[in-house]
Amino acid sequence: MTPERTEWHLALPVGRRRDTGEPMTLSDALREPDALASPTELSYEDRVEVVVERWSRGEWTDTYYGTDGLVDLPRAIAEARAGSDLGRALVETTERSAALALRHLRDTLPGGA
Amino acid sequence: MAVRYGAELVNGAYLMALASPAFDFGTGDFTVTATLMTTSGCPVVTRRATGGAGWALSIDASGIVTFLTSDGGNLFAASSPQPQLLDGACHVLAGVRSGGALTLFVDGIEAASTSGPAVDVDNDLALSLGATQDTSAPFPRMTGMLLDVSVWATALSGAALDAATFGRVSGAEPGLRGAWSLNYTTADMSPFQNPANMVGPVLFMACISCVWAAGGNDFAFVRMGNNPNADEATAAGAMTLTQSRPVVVPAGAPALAVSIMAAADAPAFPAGVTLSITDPQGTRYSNDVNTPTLFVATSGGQPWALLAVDPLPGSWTIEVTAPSTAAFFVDVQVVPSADVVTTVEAALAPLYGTPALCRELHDTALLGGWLDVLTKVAVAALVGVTVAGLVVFSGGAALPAVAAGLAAFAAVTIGEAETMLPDVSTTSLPLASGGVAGLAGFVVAVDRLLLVDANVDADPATQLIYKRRDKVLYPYVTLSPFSRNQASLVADQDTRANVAAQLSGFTSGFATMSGHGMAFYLTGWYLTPNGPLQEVLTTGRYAPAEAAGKIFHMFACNCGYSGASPGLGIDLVNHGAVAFFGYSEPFQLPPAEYIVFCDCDIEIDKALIDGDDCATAYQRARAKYTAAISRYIANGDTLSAARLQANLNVLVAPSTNAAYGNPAARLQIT
Repeated sequence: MTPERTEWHLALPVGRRRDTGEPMTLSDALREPDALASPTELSYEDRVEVVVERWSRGEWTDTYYGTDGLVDLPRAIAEARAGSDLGRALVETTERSAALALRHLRDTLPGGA
Repeated sequence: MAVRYGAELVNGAYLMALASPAFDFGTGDFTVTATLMTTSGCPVVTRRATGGAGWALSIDASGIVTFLTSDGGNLFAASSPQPQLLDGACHVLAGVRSGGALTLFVDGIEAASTSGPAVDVDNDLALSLGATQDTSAPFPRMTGMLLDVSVWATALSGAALDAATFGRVSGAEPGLRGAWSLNYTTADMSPFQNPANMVGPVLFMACISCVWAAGGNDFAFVRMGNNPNADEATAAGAMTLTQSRPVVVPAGAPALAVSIMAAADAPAFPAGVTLSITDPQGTRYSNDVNTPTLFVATSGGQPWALLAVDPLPGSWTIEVTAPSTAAFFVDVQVVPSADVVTTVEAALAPLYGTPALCRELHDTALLGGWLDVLTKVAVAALVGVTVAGLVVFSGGAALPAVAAGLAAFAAVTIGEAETMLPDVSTTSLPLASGGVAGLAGFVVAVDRLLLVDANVDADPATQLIYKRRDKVLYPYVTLSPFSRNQASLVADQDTRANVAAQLSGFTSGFATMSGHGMAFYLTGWYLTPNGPLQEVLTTGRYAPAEAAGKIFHMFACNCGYSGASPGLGIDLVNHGAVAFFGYSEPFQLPPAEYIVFCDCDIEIDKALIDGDDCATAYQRARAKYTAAISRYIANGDTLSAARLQANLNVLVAPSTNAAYGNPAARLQIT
């Protein structure tokens, strides 16, 4: 991962603090791994807002999904907030993306673990 | 496998099989064959004393070959009209008496014949190999190498003569009276078991094997090689071996292909070997050339492959020098001007039609896979040229001469050949050989392949999938044994009626289909103009024959659904399908990444076409997915990685659940 891409990932939200509910970036999560709430500890609405924030900050490319045609960013946000099957699938995918980035940088950055 | 050896005869040494009634041909038909390398006149195989009854196959000081018979008074002989043979290279001789006619064959070609009474040639002499008991002969002993000697109490002809000439002898052939390979043994393979006893210090020396053939339609073929076993490949004191062979290119022949490969599955120039290619004008080819009519690829300053379109007619010379520890094959082919498959197969059948007899080296275990030996050898020159070209020049479409040669070989257009070139494997000679053999029609798969792609203009996702399958999968099929046993239904051809007709038309095979999928059906083209998409395969609405005996792969969402009511995939298996690959839920296809996403799925098709079983196909696809996911993560595109992981999570196959069929099932190719 390039330094620029790493910096970008570090600044993206990955979830919320278990204690206060405040947003946590990937950088925060690397520093305080125990503070990060798992998605199952969050409400669906909170999960959506973390994901939408990631999308809004660039972690989005349009995609076809099943028979739903091309999903662009406005539609993705709408579907996610509406809690449709499509929206939930997109949210889960983005949460997986955040988890992959967290694990990768934790394993590769000096002192990341 | 081992190095090929022959009997090195020097300083008057020779071999002798004791007198035997097996050699008493009387006035009957008989045949004698031998392979030799020499630079001076010599007796080759004889059974005759001075002025007596008997026969002899010999070469005079100028290189003229003579096959003679005598009853002690009358002498009949057939002599080759032109001096030849005394060049130290490998040559084969055969003398045949049939009725009263004597025919002499030099290097597989009839060189002379004469007719007269069939004189009685019997005597009580031993059979001399590399010697004569005729004291009037100017050269009583051979200096050179002798191998694959055989005598027959029958007049061999055609394929039987070709096979005998190159030592393709089992020992059980009718009429065989003696067969000595001299491959580090003096044993006689015939039922008479009359060994060739050494007289003097006969040595067994390594040599580069060399076989050749010619056929109709201008076809010519040469294969030289060496294939030491593990001990020989690492032995100290390696000898330097040289072999050369002329290849006569007829005027008007479409192409000449020459290549050399290390004897391994991965394509490579053999270390320590030198190859020389000289055309009839004396030009040697040792630099890279890539023009529409001539292609030469080099490796380390050595010619690795050559393809000449409309090659110079005349005698080309191929010479190879190698340490005895090097394992390699040199393959040369003049591409037939017509009927390539039947021409080549007919010409090579005597040499490679019975693999068990190809004992000299290279013809059985190496270059494995499902191709038979004859086919591997038949395509080897073209495969070598293509693979070397792709490796050296890094671009199939930019090899116009190779494309032209491949087009002539496979009876396809040059444009089609150019399309196929980049898909020839550059990492596996067996895969490359299978592809070229399929393209050319040497192998036609037993099982049938059906490709179905909706490619609906109102649905760009299906268009993207077809775009990639058309680019990657369709050429892969064309370059496979399924090339001549396949059909496709694309776009407006993808109708329920056509799918039903095609699926009902074969009882065993593979249907790979793309389109929109729901749990209980797959859609194809429009039902009506601008109307809804029609269901081309729907649970409970197809004939049993459509499912029976087939492996299905649906690059479509949902068809692998596994709820309480089985989805289309499981339903097909329940109604006789062998296996099903698909997706149990919707998958994602980002347009920006469609190539990577599609290629992961297409790996299933490639594996099955390669002959892998369903379990392996799933593993190959899974490996493709996981490798792509890892690359995405490493590049920082974790969203694409997550999407691809989600797709992999819903990929279903016989390996993921027995409801999807038999993991051990595979397509029948041969």
